Amino acid sequence: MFTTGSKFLIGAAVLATVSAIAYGVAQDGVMGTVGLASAAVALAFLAGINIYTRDSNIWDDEISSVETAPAASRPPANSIWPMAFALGAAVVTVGLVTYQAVFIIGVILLLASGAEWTAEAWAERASADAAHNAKVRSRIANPLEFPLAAAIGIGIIVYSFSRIMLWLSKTNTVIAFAVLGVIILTAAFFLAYRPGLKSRAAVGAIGVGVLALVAGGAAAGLDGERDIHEHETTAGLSEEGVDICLSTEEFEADEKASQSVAASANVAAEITLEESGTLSLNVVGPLTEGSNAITLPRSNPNNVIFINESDEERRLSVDLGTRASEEDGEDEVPFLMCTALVDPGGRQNITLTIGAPSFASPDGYSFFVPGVESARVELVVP
Amino acid sequence: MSNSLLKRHPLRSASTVTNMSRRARIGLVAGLGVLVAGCAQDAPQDTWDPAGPNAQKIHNLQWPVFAIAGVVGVIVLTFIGIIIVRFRDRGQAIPEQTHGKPALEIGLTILPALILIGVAIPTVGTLMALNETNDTECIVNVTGQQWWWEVDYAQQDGCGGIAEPIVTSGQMIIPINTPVLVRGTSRDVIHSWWIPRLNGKKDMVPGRVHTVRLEADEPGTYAGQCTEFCGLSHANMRMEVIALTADDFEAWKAQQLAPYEAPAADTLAAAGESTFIAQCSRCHQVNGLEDADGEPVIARPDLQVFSGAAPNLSYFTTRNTFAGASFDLLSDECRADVWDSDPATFGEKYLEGVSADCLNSVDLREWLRNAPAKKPMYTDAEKLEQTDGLVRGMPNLALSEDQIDELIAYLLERK
Amino acid sequence: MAIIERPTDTPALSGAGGAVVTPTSSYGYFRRPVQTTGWKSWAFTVDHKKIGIMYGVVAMLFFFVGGFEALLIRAQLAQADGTILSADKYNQMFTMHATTMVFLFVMPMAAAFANYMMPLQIGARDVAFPRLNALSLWTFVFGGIFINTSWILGGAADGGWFMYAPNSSVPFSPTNGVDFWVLGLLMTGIASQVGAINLIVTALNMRAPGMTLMRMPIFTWMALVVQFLLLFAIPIITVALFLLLFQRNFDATFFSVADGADPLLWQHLFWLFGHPEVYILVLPAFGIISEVLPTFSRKPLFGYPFVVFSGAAIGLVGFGVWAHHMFAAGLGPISVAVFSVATMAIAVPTGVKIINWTLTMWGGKLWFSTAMLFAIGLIVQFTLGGLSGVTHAVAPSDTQQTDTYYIVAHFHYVIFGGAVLGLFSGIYYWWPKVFGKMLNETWGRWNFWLMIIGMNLTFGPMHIIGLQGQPRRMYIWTENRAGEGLFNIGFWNLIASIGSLVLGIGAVLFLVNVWVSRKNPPAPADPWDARSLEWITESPPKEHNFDRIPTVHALDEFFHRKYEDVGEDGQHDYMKVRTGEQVVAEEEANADAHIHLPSPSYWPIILSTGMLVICYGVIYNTLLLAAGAAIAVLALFGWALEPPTADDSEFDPPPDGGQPSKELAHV
Repeated sequence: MFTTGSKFLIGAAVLATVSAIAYGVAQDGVMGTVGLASAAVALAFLAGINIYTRDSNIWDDEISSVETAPAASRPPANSIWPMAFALGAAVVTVGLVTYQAVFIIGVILLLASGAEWTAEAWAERASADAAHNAKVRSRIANPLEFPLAAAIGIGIIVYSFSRIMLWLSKTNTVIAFAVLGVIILTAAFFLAYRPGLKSRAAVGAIGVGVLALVAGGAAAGLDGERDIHEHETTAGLSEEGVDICLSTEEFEADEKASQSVAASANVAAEITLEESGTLSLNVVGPLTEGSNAITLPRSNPNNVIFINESDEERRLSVDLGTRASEEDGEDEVPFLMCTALVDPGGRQNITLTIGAPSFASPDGYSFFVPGVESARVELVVP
Repeated sequence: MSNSLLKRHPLRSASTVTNMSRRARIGLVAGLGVLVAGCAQDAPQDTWDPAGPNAQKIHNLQWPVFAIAGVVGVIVLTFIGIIIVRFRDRGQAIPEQTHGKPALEIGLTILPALILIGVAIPTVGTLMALNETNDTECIVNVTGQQWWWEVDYAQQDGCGGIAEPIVTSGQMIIPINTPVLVRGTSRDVIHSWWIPRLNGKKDMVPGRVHTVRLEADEPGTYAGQCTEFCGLSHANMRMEVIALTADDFEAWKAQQLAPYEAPAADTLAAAGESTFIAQCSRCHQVNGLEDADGEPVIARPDLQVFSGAAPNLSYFTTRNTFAGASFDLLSDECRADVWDSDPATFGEKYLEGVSADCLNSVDLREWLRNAPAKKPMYTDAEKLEQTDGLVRGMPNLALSEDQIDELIAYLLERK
Repeated sequence: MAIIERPTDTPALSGAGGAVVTPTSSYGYFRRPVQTTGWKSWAFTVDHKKIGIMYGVVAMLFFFVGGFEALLIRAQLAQADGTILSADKYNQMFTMHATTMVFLFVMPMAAAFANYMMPLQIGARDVAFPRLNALSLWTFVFGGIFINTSWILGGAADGGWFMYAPNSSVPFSPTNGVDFWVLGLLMTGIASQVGAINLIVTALNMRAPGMTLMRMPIFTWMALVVQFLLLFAIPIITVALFLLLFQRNFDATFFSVADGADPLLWQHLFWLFGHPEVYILVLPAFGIISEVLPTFSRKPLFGYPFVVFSGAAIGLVGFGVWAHHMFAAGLGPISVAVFSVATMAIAVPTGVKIINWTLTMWGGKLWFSTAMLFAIGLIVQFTLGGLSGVTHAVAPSDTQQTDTYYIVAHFHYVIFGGAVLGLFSGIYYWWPKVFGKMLNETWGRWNFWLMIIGMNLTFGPMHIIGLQGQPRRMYIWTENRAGEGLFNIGFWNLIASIGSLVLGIGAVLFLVNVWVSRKNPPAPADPWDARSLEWITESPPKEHNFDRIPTVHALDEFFHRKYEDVGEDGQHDYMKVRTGEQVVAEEEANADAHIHLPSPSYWPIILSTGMLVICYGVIYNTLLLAAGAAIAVLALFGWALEPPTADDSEFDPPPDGGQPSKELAHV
């Protein structure tokens, strides 16, 4: 019932499975188990293919088909797959001594051409009727070929298009996108209004378009991306040493900053800049009258909301003493954090995780608003 | 057909059925008896033994609801018992094929609805009362971390006036008869603050600040436990609330703000101070400690511990538990003396702290010798990749016995 | 996989010379599976009955796996400072115990009943999408196996079955256990979701002629409500699991507090699923005993419309009470008050059911078979569990009770005392129909009483220790929190552990019963003198269920075929005019002429295998993921291209000669 080759592969798959379980139970590490389990899966897969094609040997069981088979059988047709397989083997060998990417391409080529070759060889022996054989082969192989080819095709188109988009400047991408849209619309218009258009012409035109896209994509990809500008953040700027947290000017990090907070319940504190120019605190529970200090726990992700009730754009900054400089690791530079500029009436959240206690710093820590002298609140981190 | 089935089921006889109902009734009575007997304990975290007005409000809501539920339960179970006995198969004819009596059903639907409305109203009232924060006279901050609690008192007018922040861990000291508001959060995962005899629990969630009211009627120790699963040593994360009279509380505050006294030279404690600076001060802060150059020693646990903090040991032996309140600093007798003392003398006993005679050196030494072996924590240096090499808990410092002796001498002076 | 149809005659090939004869049988080793016996007839089946049996067997296996985990937990907690399990192992143990019991036992066992019984109860021959049914089964089986392989692959999940964030993130749960949990639940979630769609379409579209919705058997109604609950709840947990999967594996920041996330997001998502989930667990059991009680009381279900509507109400309102699992989570008094009142509201329809069941028994002629004992046991135990539930609908009270053993007691009473007892009732009730043999009643009684005694000994004391302050999910408890006196926390923990042993023995007695009963004589078609449609079949039913699709004239159609009302003047007097066997024989005599059934298929199990490989690939290796995806895509295409019924040529010719055909032999 099972052919020799199938029996071997099944036995190997079973052995690998049993070993994987035994190893997993007995040993601590995971890699061995995974390795053996992968081997089991791979062997089972191969066993499946081999059972299906029956070692590409039909004579074992189908005695009746032998007896009723036609006297003449067709010679195999021309096929590209042996050559592709050999090419794959060569690329694999080359890749072993050069780049890993080449090796991987070779492996993929090997697997793909091997699968196609096997399917073709098997289909050719299904019967003596070439048309029937072709149908059989397409019935088996198409469900795999079509989605893969589609995925690869779409992948190539999308990738090429993305390289072009990344190469053009920002405004030019908008133009290019619009132009491409117009082209597609025009082509579709033609297709719709000219049903008599020969399919060859349409395919030819589309093929030219795709080729152009791929060529353009390759060229743009090789040339490299344009300079993509990363938006600055207050934290990033502050770490670089830019005095954003001491300044009232608008930086790029302040443009388009959000002016509202989505959820504002259960925060550690709300700090409001009043019109009078002082900072007022709102924490749960009654505080000391006129208190000018807030206590936050250490190393905790504290959420503090800043509400700007004054008439100007203001930011809330936190003075956290000094820290070692990023450049040489020794110099002490001021350690500041801040929100972006908040419009009058707006609010922002800042998450403060403070590692060192406030008594470590000679001046302690404080919240302040640059540009408003009277707006200062002490921050105690015990 | 039914005859043959009868033969196959010889136990379907009257005696078994009566046994069943009798058994059911016995079981019911026994169960209730056991339930009642079970309530007569002195468990430190007993939720039916309120010791403060908040827990009392909950209890006043709880026991009537339990009583109603109990009554309903007894009615339903008795009814079922009656049915089992009265309507068992005695060879009667096919019974009347009633499909239902809508009026009865609607009535029996409305009745529980009314009972529940009756329960709902005081529920909402109690809920609102327990969420009041305007009458607070003392604010205490609590921060949960794997697997201990940090308690700190911010500068405030409340609590009788606190001039400088006080930081302690594992035990929260409050004055009696004072509405205290606990403001809590967490540094890492969700924990939960629960002192059953004083109030219900509240989750402590990182990034959020939640409040819970506490108030104790009498001086004493009120035990609690972290009640939100927080990882490996969740079971070992405990805390106590210590309630003191107003005078005792002032004395305690003074204790916690006392200036640092370096140990006398050439004593074991002095050697302990150097060992402490070398081994422990990376994570544990002792206020006022200075190194050999006279520079203040500032602990930076945020560079060692993933969650960023370690207990402040400045006044270590003024409290009597350690390691997330999961071990006692007091030996068994001294502990019983403090825990079981009556309210009048409790404050005095507590304020004595831990002396050398009363020290539970067994647990403390084991802890110093190898902390992760005593309390499960993630400190294995080889397995810290996911936390960027930072530990979660106190690692094994491989201290020698001499170093441990020195440290214990030093810690006993932290009062 | 019959994709090769040979032409039976070939046009002469030009230029080939001479006629060409092509073999007429299908070529290829993998014909579409058409076996009716042997392991292949189980692995590739799409027959709802076989699928139901497999669901039940695998679920029962996981019951004992989860039960073993529970015994280890109770062994650890029998004494103070236990040393049987380390802290890490204990955390894994309670996580997997809950996950196994909820997702791998109760839900699939309910699915087993729904799969087996729903088509029979509505007079259909199979479900609406048979291959999809097989997919549900195999995805569940592989998902269950997948989660449990985590024990040998680095440690199981250890964050609790509720897996709160941020404890579930990588720094706090560094092993792969949580990933196994997430992916395994995604798989079983797919199984449930797909099954839900299947059964909803079945119930709404495939009822026998004359069966209006209000003539549907009550178990089918409850199962239908459960499928709707699944339909809307599973996507929620799927979303939550995807967020967690991406958080752990692809550096997302959904639950990173430092990046601004709120951990309560996970809780809301989880409990929005989690609360409907508990109704998913218990409503099938309610449906089962709503069938059992009338049969053994010889009366119809009291207030059938009320039971139906209260079931639907529970399902609907169940989506509105999720935050009662979060009363201590810091929601704020107004939210808490709203959910507290809503939770009290949901007690009302549940109470309606208890009233209806009790009144069903009132005035009846009670036959205390084992199934009936379990059903009555459910009413008693669920009442107790439901009442403790009402005590924590009161939110301030819940802040003392939540996360303590009091809650553990509550949900074990409602899940074990509710869902599990109901499922056992169904097993004993329908066993003769499914397997064609009666289960031994003596062993059944022992099974029942030991389970009841064990259950009450185990979970009853948990009420007490919970109120005395013992929290949940603790790998040890200590003497100095245990209280004074004999009846302290330690005592009750010991009692609970002893009770768990009794419970375990009681559960094992079920297996003993199955074994001992295997050689019993065949069971009749109608051993219990039952009332609904599924009994108008042989025991076990033929593959095509009904020889003739019955026409339904009333609720309890089978009862009305056996009993006629001979009363006068508005008095009802029912007299038996036919036995069950006679009704079945009558159907057989008027069998339908052509009976077509859907054919078995490979693709569902292959697709499930592909999903399993994908899951391992997510954890270990992207290439494995690609391989699994390839298998899955292949399976989807194969499935889509395969017709629902096999071609005639796929079948072997009948032994007595003639053409192969997919027509089933007539009765």
